[in-house]
Amino acid sequence: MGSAGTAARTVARGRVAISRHLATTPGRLRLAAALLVLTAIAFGLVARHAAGERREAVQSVAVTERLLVSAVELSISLSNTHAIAAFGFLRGGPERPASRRSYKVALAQSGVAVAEITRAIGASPGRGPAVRRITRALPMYSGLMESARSNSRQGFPVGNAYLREASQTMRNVMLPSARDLYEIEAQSLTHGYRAGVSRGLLLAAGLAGCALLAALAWTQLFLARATRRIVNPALALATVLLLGLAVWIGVAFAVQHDALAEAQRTGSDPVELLTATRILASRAQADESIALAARGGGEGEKRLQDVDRGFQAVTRPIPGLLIHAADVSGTSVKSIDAAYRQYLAAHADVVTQVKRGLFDQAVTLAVQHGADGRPSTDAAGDVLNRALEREAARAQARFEAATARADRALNGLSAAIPGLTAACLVLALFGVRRRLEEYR
Amino acid sequence: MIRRARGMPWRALCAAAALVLVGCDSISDDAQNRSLRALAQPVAAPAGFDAPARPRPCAREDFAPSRLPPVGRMPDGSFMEHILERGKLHVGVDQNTLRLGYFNPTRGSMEGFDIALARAVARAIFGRSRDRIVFTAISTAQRDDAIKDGKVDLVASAYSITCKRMRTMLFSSVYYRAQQKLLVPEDSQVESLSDLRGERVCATNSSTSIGSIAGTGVVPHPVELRPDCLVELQEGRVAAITADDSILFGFRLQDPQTKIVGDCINLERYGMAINRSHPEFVGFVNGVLERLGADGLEDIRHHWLRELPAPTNAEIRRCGRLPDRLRAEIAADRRRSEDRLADSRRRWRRTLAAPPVVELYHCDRDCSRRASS
Repeated sequence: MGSAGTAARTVARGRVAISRHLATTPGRLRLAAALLVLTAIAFGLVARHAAGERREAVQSVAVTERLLVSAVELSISLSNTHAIAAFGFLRGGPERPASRRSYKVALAQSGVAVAEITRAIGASPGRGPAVRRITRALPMYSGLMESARSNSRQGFPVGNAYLREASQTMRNVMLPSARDLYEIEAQSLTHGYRAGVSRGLLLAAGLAGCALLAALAWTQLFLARATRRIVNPALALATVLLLGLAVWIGVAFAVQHDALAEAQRTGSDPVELLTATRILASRAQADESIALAARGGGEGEKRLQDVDRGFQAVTRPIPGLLIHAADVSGTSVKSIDAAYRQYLAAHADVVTQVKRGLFDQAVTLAVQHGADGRPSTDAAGDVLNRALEREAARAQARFEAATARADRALNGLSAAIPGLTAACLVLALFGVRRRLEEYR
Repeated sequence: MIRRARGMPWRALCAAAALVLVGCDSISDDAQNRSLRALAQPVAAPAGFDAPARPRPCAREDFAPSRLPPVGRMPDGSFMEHILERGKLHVGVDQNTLRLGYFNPTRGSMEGFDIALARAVARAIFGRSRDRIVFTAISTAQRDDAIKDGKVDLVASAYSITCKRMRTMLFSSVYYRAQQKLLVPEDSQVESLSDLRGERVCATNSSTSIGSIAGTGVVPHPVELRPDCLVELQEGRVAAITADDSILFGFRLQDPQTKIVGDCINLERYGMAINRSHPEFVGFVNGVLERLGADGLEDIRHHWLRELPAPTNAEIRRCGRLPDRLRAEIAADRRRSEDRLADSRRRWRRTLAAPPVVELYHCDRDCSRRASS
């Protein structure tokens, strides 16, 4: 009983002593100094963290978007490789050296695209399995293609079966994996944008700033009343410094937010929409040429009528994508639209010939020259692809400029926040200390 | 989405707003969701295993060959006249079966036993077959629908006559008898189906062969097209292929490291398939086959399948014989058939030189049961 009672009495005595001390002016001043130190440290840490988080998000957005573009390139180069190979085999007659060459070039490009994406992705989580699937399937695919080729050169129909097997590897493993990769990058891009404009830490920094401001105001009010001097220059300067820093942070975050939103609206959104269009257009073109080479249903591919339906299904979202791309970026997609129309017209000509059973004419329309001086579907597809590429490159440039602007906005801030907060704290403590010394 | 004014005033507004920690929300997933949706392609469903329902033996209706009209002068109102006016004979074929029906990439044309017969039909209508035939490549599973929907006039694709198929389409006379056998790697010890218990055996989906290995203890491995089986064997994914020896013969030519083994699992009778609404065309095709004669048919067979010994009559009898317990069923079925055919005879008398006759039995799986047990 004795010791507990003593402890309680000691605590009570301590409390009394502290409250008595706080009732005195020096006590109040010491309390003010402690509050200033605490709030300044809180504000400095939280604000710096908020700025760092946003800057990191901006940088990750820039990196992810580049990965997204490489995933698209991979997907397109794979589907081109297959279209070239299948067309070369299926059109009949002896193999042409030119088609063999372009197949090897396309295959090498796919290999390079795989290597590049592997290097760019490194060991980042989530992307590994998709890349591994493609890396494993590519040599298998080219092996099946070589079996198809050597059998076909001997006139053995089993070559077609190997070609089908290669097609299935491409369609069921490689292209879906490339699409998975695209989806992963797209989702992580959205995530990056969300983090880039998140307001949780900013709000916390604002609260800490208000606390610091309140501490400064309370100290000054108290000093003004206690010393009858209206202005304490050091404390006033600290307050101005804090307000200046707050304005800087506000403006910088607003500019960064605005730049990032612009990067999405005029940059990555159109890039995504246009590259989705490119993927669909290249898929439609590959389907058409394979179906044509199979003369309307050979090698177990879908019959051309079905493929035309498939073509319609594949291309159906394209107008919507283009309108949306024009809508979000505020740019014109007239040249793409014209190229797309021309492409559709060329395809329609081919389908007309196929419906008449004239496969040779249809093949001519598809690869050599179109009807009435119009381009072949191949050429029209190339024009469309180039137009899409051009517009996507423009959007890409806008994206890069905007993300650079977002990055620049936060550039000075990560050094300025700790520096200015520290200066503010030193000035405030200096002002308080001058008054404290008067009581010694 | 509301379009915002762009430029400095908006930015200043935004800055002011951000200062009071409201911010301008302009990050959206709209464009991305649209792109991802557009790219989400449906993945084709894998080929299922549709074994034919257990067939019952049945009587077969065969049409007497009609006297062939002169070339280019087909009877009024007949299907042949329609083909003549159209100028093209539409033939459904398989373009991947070496020596039966395949696309020769060097010559750029279709070739094979089945193709030669289709050309004979075209010659009887047009006087020549060049440029008069549109070949449509159809898979084994697509054959029934191609005939039913009228996409092709004739299917010549190693098509076995079975009771089930007879209910939905008409067949010409039998032009070839094949035996279902096994193809195994050259060094394999397998000699019959019973050696393959528990092993994977490849067969084409919807073929008679895949039906006849069901329930024998082997694991059926269905594929969509005939040569897919050879790929499966070469890649080591199956222990054997089962199909008609005429098809296996083509595989052997493409891969000398294989051999054809086993007793006849099932007897397959090939006929050309025609839509049920054109019986006069069946009579016409039978007329073409009759005019070719046994020797003419043998010449064509010899040209394409000379290294494959034709089955002897004894083999055919042994493989195609019916168990006694099925004879009663067949008799009943024949009576039903006769009733049905009496009706048809009245309708067809106008265009056919002679009424159809019931003459041949066919069974598919029940014979194989007997053969394998």
